[in-house]
Amino acid sequence: MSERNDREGVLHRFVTRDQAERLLSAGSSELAPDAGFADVASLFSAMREPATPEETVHAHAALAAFTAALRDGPSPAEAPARKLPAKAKFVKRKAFAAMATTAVLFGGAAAAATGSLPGPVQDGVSKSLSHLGMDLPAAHDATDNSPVAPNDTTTTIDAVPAANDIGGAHDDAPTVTAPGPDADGAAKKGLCTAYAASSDSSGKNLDSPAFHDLTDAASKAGKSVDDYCADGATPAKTEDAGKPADTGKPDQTGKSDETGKPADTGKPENTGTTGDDKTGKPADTGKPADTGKPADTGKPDKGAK
Amino acid sequence: MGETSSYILSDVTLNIEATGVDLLWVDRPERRTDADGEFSSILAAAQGGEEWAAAALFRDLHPRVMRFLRARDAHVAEDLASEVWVAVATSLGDFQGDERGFGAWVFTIARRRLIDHFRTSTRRRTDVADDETFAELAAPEATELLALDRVAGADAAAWVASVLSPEQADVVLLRVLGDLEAEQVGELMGRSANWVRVTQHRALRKLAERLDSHVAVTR
Repeated sequence: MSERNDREGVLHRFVTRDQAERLLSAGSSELAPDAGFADVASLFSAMREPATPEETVHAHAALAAFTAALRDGPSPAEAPARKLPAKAKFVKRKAFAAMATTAVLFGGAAAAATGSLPGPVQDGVSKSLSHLGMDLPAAHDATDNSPVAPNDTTTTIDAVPAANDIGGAHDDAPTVTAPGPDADGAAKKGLCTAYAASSDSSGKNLDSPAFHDLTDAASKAGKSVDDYCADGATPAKTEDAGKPADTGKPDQTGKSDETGKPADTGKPENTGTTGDDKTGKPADTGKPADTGKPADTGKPDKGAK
Repeated sequence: MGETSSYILSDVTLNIEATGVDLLWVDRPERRTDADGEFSSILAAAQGGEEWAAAALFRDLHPRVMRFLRARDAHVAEDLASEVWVAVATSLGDFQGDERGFGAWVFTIARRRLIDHFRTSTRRRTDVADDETFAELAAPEATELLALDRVAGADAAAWVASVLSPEQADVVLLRVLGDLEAEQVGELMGRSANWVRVTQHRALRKLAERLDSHVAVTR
């Protein structure tokens, strides 16, 4: 550390960036011989001290919340079985994103706007359209039964926003049996479009939860999905209430609350905090940190330094 | 796993239901004494639903998370802490990483909850706070802080946050309380590591100047 007197005789202290770095690094407080910075070092040492009894007296509430949410979370026994290889996750995510975007742009907007698409599709639509300046509800605020697999990266992106709804977070435990959209009604055209689009790149994935209701509706009509969709390039006339073209105004009907907007994670400068824009960032880099929204910085490798 | 369990259970008799949370901090060794393998075992056990392991993770981080939250907004820290841990529980199965990475992950959640809180409260605030409100919120003065022989950790964190700008406070608090590298803080805040280093440099100067002015008066 160094110091100098300026013309007014006011004492100024200087610290190099390296010295600042050492001061802030754990266990480096002894590297501050200067009186002023020794006080800073003492301050940091105090901040690192173990908790006092007064500080932990109310900790039981947080611990109870933690263990309760852990108990109510995805079954630990099921979790490993549902894990997908990273590449499979990537392909699945891309397929959903392409499907969802296509579905909305060509007729599924109404379903998306009302949050009635299945979770992954809804998220994909919401995120895709957020880039176009359209706000749609994300899966977790549109529906509580988002059909997302717990270890899918798409799921983890939404895990924290969902968890933010304290008290209801553990009720959002992902399932794989959630209902899809009404394939007879408003979502028919969108689903058929998505189905057609998905066949172009990754094959007709009728096993996807998003298409369960489409296959069901087709079988009820006694037709194959291809015939069902070909027959109904437009939604069934009896389902006027669900006309996607007429009601598909996302900006009016799909306005989500602020916590659900994928694009509403912008600069919180006015709140005294910095930009935190990574909320919706896909885990394309495969960083463990990127798993589960919170995991933005949970990089094990980086932390292992 | 058995070995890990015996370590934890001999360290603190963790029966949450029966003994309550106070024992979480009984005879607590210095934090971060776990070898990487041991942390991995504890993490795996917690991810498998073992409450003793969850409590061990909680015990290590909660006090520092609380100091961070209290320093930034003491009035909502307890509520936010619970929300943070619920979020941790919800996504714990997806976390992969070492102990330091886990800390970074938890602090990332904590800061995100804080940002959400600030956003919400800013929107909701329609009345103008009076001076008394600000006085109530003010952290201890440096003179009060240093008059103590031993500064309490929570007071130190609160004072740091009161002296610095919000961004500077986040950088310093996350680096010190979260034990995070500049790169990790940068990623967490959506900034570059260089921005973090510049910010922390300015923050330290400001802290030193505030403390120094006090030293000049009292010595």
